[in-house]
Amino acid sequence: MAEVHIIGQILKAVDFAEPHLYCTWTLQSGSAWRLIQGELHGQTHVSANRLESCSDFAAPLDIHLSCAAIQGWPTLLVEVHAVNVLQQSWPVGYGFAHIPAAPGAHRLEINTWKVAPNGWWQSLRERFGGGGASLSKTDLLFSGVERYKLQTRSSGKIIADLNLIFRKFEEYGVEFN
Amino acid sequence: MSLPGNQSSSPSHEKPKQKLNKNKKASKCAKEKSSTEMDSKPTASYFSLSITGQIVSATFPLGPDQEFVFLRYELVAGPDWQLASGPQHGLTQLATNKSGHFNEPIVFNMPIEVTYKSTSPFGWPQLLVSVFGRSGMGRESLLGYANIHLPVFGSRPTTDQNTILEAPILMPKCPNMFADVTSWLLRREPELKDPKVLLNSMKCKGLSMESYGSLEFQLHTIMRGARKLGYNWHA
Repeated sequence: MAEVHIIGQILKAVDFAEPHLYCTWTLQSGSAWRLIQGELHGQTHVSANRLESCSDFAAPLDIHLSCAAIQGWPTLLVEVHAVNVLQQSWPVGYGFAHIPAAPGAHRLEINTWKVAPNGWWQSLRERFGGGGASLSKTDLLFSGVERYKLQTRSSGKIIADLNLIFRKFEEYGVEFN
Repeated sequence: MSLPGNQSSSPSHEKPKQKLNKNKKASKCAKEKSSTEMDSKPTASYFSLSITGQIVSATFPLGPDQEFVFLRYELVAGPDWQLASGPQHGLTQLATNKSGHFNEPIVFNMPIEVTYKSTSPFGWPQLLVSVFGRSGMGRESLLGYANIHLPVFGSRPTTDQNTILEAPILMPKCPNMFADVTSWLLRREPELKDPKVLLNSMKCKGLSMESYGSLEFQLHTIMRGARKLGYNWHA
């Protein structure tokens, strides 16, 4: 079976309006992929920069997957949450990116979006009352099926550095661009 | 979990000696000798990784919080990795940039030379650095932590060998306002009991950190035996 190693870090979150952020990440893949070693979910610590408006996480990722079919190529889903002084947290960004299909080093910039407030009361609550609306079904993140009713706003970016090592793909005749 | 090539403690005594002899043999540059040394290896299912380089400097945009800065670095790797040579911890000198501008990099020039042996890239070694500061009076305090992965093979094009890797320095913050006030009164900042918590994404929920400053590293990688095991890191 072919194997894929994903070794890297979720580096930072930039361009978000809120200063104190944490990020939860998940690696989603199809049914032909199995996890051999590593964790498929993670949550970073809350971070803020003293001077700039970015949040440095430096959260390491080390995942070893085995692959029986190319369908269901893994994707990295991120959800960025903001925290306020009262320790309440609310999501301020959803995003995903496919793991690149070439071995080597890659810098992923995942653009995120958040659910738009639906009226003046919700915009007021978003600013002062501990956060706006969030998604109830998070599988909307990676499927395009039921998105047409959702109104969203653009949010910041997550920057992740991934190094990919592939193994035994040539034995199965798989070629990468 | 026992994997082929991951021997128990008694053969590991012989392995570093074997490795040293192999290095001496290879330096004599004879092709026949190198082919016999390949055959005499007990298991060829591991690859070795040599990292050479240095911790170049630390940069604080508005100057460090303390006069002198020193670092303590530690190499953390997964269960399949064995340190074949090189120190696992190190402590640098006390450095300062007092004589120059306050936001000039504080130069350490701390060499890092390690060799690891492993059967799988999982648990790739990481460098975890704790940054401490020392005031002129001799009081030491924590300035932050930084962690990077040692360069993974294929991570840099060969024409660009002298790029500097940067890692942000993260300082833990007090969990609540009462702890904030207490730490300001007693002049003691929070420290993590075990900085390895930063490397584990399951354990750092709820931890609050502030990032200020960055560390610069220059690291080069030499691998041996990885391509034979079928690993592909070039497109």
